[in-house]
Amino acid sequence: MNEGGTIAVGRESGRLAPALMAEYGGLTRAALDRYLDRRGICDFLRDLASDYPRRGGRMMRPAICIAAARAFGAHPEDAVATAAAIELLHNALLVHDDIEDASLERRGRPTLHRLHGVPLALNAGDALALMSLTPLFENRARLGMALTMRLLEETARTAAECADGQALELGWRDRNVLDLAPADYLEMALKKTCWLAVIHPLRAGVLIATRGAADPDVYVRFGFLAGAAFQIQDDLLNLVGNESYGKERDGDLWEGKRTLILIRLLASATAAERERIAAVLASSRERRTEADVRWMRRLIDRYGCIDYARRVAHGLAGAALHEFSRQFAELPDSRDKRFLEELPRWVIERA
Amino acid sequence: MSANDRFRRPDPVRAAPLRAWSTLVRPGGAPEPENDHSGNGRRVSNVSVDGGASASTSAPDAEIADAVATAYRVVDRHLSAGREAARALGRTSAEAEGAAARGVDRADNGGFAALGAGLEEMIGEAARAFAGMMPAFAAMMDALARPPYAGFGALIGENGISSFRQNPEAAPGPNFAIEVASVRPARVMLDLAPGADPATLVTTGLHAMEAGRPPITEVAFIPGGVGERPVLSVRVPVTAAPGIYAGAIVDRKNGEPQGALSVKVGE
Repeated sequence: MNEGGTIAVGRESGRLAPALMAEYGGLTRAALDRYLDRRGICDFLRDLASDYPRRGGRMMRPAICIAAARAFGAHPEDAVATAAAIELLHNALLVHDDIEDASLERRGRPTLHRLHGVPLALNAGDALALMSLTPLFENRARLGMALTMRLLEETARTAAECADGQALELGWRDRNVLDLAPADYLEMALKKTCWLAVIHPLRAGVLIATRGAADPDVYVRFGFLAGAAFQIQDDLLNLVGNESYGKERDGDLWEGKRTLILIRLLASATAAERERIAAVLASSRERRTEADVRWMRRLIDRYGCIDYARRVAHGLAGAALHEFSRQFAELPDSRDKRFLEELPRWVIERA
Repeated sequence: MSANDRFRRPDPVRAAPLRAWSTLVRPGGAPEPENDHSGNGRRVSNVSVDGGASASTSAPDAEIADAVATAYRVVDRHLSAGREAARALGRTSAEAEGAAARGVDRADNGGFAALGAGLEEMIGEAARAFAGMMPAFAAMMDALARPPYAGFGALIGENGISSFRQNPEAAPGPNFAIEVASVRPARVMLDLAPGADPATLVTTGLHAMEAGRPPITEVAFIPGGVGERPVLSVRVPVTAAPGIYAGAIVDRKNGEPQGALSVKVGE
């Protein structure tokens, strides 16, 4: 951080993150293919389980894992299996989340359950979750038993946090909970998103490189702040994103998700407006009308909720950079270190 | 001013930290700072990534600072809850930190079987839980059944000159003698890729896990003569605080990573 309290960003800013995600994403995809193309699996499973992974995500999670490992001195191959496990688990949860949220689109195409029905999609999600264990067990050969166990523990913790966060969000919608504050949203995002998106890949990479010697809790703050900024940006893109966003426009409003934007709207609206919002959110998605959603969308603009959420995301990204300067300062300069430094900025700039 | 007068600096213009969180990371192409919501066109802040600047702390910025403070409270509460849970399970963070080291000790004392006892038990539970769950499970078991990869075999050295291999089953890499000079107990772990050339290895220094501590820089790889083992020499400064210091080993010819080196300095 320089004297003016601002954060210096390298000359490569904005270019390094996509480049490294492409590079490490390529390594991970090659590994994924080995797990997804197992012989002896019937088409009803193989084709469905490989659908989301092959739709081409950005591979942020595996890239963070490999970059963290490399920044701390490991060979990239040490981290590829764990990165593949993270991506498999991520895709498993996407399939399940899409069913639970009744989402229509994922990565620019209809969701898996819309294409094949809920039972087959659910089974494919289960299979992906189980497949994610395979590379973790394969770590035994390269990383040894103690570190393999440690990474399995880390994965179990992450899965538990994700499930807890998803339960919070689903519960709020199911019970039509409206009395929510930004702290509630941040806690939900911490569990539902940040653990698997940033915290776990980062911790896993550091543990791999230090052979389990580092205290991974040190990196939770950075991971949370960057991950929360990532989630808020995702919520924003749902309302204002372009076609490359890949999900249903205004889908979060149709699904009644308790985003920071909606929480801000509920806090800003008049009593009458709040009553109508509550009624809209209380109804099922099928009963919600285009007019309801458009009305809420206009209110969001009128009360500056998008601007508010964007500024909070920037604030969290700034805080993440501050944490980076505290926790990673002693690492020698490297492309991977610079990638991690660039990450908070990338998550709020992505379209 | 006479030579005996005390020199006084002028009072600083700014006496508090800049807390304009919302604009701390303004993208290069982003629009100018937004107006506030009062409609009077007042700027929220003018801190930017590119230049030092003054900042006004208007109400909206206080709101964002509050959101960031809330985020810190949320994550700190989460971390405390995690530590409490670990304590309740009789496994403190400090113990967790030493898990890998324990693994080494157990490998030394009880061998592979002792180290893997927990994993074997867990595999058994997983097998029972997922029995009948399709080919993915079979693939997982297939992975487990494969023999261990004969890859890195970490070398360990302690105060004085010594070295022993962490995992005797691993393929032998360069067999270094490890020379450790330290007034505190120190354990060095050298993990090298098979085929690494001792003559071209360098490290950029061993960095402490805790920010602010000076690195250990007196590290040298000394190629052995004919019939002699190469030597890794690590000198721990008297002032080095207890803790873990780690760093990458690279081949100076091409900059490729060749492994990792860590030193655990005891009390």
